[in-house]
Amino acid sequence: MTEGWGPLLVAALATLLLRATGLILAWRLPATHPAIAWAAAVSEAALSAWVVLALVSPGAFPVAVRLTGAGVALGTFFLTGRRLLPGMATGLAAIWVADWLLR
Amino acid sequence: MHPAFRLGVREALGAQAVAMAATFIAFGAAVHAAGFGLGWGLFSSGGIYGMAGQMVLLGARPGASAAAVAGSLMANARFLPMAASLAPLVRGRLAPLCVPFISITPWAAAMRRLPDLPAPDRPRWFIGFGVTVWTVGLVTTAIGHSIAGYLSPPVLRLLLMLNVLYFALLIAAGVARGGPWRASLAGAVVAPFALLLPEGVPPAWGLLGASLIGGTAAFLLRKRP
Repeated sequence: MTEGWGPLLVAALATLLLRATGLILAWRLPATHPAIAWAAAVSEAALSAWVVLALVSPGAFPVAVRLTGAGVALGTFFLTGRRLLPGMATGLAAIWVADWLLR
Repeated sequence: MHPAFRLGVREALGAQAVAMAATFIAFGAAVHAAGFGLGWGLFSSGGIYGMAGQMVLLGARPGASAAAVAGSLMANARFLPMAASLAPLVRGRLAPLCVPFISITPWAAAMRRLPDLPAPDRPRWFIGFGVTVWTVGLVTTAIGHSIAGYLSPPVLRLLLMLNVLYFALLIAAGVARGGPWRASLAGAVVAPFALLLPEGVPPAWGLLGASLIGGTAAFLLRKRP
């Protein structure tokens, strides 16, 4: 499958330019500049929007299963003193169990 | 090896490396299933290094090259504001070396970690962290590609969920610490509206719209110093 290489090369180059453009645009701005604050806010919003869409969009697992997993992960995370790995492990286990129960 | 670089490497080898590994194993397996070779998968993980864009390219129909590239760029458009917000933290002669590693995982870790480090150490920490998780992405893409035949669809689906849980916890930790909760909350509130977009509109538009609307609202409502 050689036809996939052209788009891949162009996309990789364009993505690199996207990153470089962001860095160049903000190169001389101080950390407190409103444009930096706006870029940071948009980026943080992008991250949380991506997570929410991954949890509620139609997908491989039912929405209830994914939300159960996220809830268990968050509960474990805070109960274990904000440790990421136990939260991720129990969240994943909860998704597996909930999906098994619902099928 | 500079201590800040070493610190970045060490701090990358935690939960984020596990989440990255799971996602890139699933991607490697998907590359194999789509009929692409290992080289294609490795170049995608190393060159694009943004899973949303990688998946758009992987799922593109033959002959739709321009649309695939545009979709991939749209899916990873958040890298531009991410790079801009990172710029004041990594400014200096090493900044250009940071560029290829600006992606969600290193960016999210950097925005939470770099302000605590002395300014001269920040780019070195970022490069150490970035190179490490980037390498994890490459190695696990290769692993996923080679063990694709042994992974059942339910296991692949679970692997993809690990990254979602990781970022959900990272956001929760940031909000609990008094981090950028307005932007996180605004993005989360606006995101479901993306599901109301008419059929045929690429999902990447919804994400981009939610990011811009949510982020701009949070910016306008911010507490000014």
